[in-house]
Amino acid sequence: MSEPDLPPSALALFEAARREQPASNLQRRILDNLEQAQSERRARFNVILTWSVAALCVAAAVGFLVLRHVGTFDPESLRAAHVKLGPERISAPTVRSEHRSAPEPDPGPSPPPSIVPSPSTPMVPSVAIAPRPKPGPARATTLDLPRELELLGEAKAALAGGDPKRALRTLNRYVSLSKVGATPGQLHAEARALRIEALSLSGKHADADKEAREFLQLHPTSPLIDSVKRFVQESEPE
Amino acid sequence: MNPVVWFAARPMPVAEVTEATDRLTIEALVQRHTAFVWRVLRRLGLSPADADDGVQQVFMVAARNLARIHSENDRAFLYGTAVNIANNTRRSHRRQRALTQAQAAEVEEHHPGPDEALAFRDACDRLDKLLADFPDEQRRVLVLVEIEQLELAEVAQLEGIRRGTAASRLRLARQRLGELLKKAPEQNPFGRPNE
Repeated sequence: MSEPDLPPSALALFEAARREQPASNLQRRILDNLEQAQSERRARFNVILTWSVAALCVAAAVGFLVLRHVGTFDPESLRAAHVKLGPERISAPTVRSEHRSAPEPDPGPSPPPSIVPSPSTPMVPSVAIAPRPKPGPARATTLDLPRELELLGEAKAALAGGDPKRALRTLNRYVSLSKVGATPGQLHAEARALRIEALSLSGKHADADKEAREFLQLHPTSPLIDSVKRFVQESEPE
Repeated sequence: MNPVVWFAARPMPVAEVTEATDRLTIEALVQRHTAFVWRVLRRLGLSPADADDGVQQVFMVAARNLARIHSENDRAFLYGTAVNIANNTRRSHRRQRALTQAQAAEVEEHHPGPDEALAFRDACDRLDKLLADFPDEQRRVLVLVEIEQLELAEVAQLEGIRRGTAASRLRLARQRLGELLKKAPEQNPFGRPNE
């Protein structure tokens, strides 16, 4: 309570001020405005949350696509690694027993080396590369067709280049590889024909004549008869 | 089951519980302290309309800072906010005399009624005119003690000053009020206007 030294008029003024009250609906208006402000804040928060979640989903999708196309999930990179490892494994068995052949420029779709189970050649583990189905018939061969073609191609190139001795070395390698398996290669006849030509061009006419006659007996219907006969005739000593 | 009963009885998520509790606290603050905050704003020089807006602003601030408010400091928080808002509002009104005239008109607008209420409205108006000449620190202490009838200790807490300082300001304010009333007896609201 105020001290008695104040004049009565002052006390009256204070009493009047004390009785002054705000409008009766002021509290209701305050609460309504607060609720409206809270609703607006909640709506803004929901909008921000929605956009944040959407941005997060987009970022995750973009990240997944980037990883898929650039990172370790690329199947082409795996296939390239398989092709790269293939020729090295195929040529590995020939290092110990034969002269090393020229490096293959383009291995192409080379089959796995699991078809060369030679005791003279090192066993190359076949776990690094996924095995592929063997081409050709089901019979076991020491040489696969691409390898045969490759060796015969080298022999032909050597003959065309005037080096029958190199052709003979290549064909000897072919023969030794074909002897490893139970049956000769698919291009055995072609290899023998090339060997006959190489023997003749290297001056070994007697050997060429002998092998040509054997060829005619073994392959009477071969399309190579005419070329082999020619060499037989040429190999006849004058 | 009645869907209304089911909805009311369902377990509420944490966010809803927090929101409901906050709203309840705000409601309690509004119910307990609206009149106090409004009167303080009025006596600090705001017109009734400005005081309405000021009260709204005070509770908006309180709603945003609800975590800091508890039962021991709720009035102090609201009072401090009201003082700041009153100062800002008065600074935006440069001509106090025109404001006083506007206050008179608004008082009449807020409290329309029979002639016996005229003395009441006139008394409030004249008190505001007297308080306008006071320094702010003395004015606030005088209002809190004489009008809101708070103890000096609580006044000191609200003002953030020592009790002795509050007592000193109150003494000075009373002296000033007595002198003003003696100088201008015609301003006595309970005298006739021409006295």
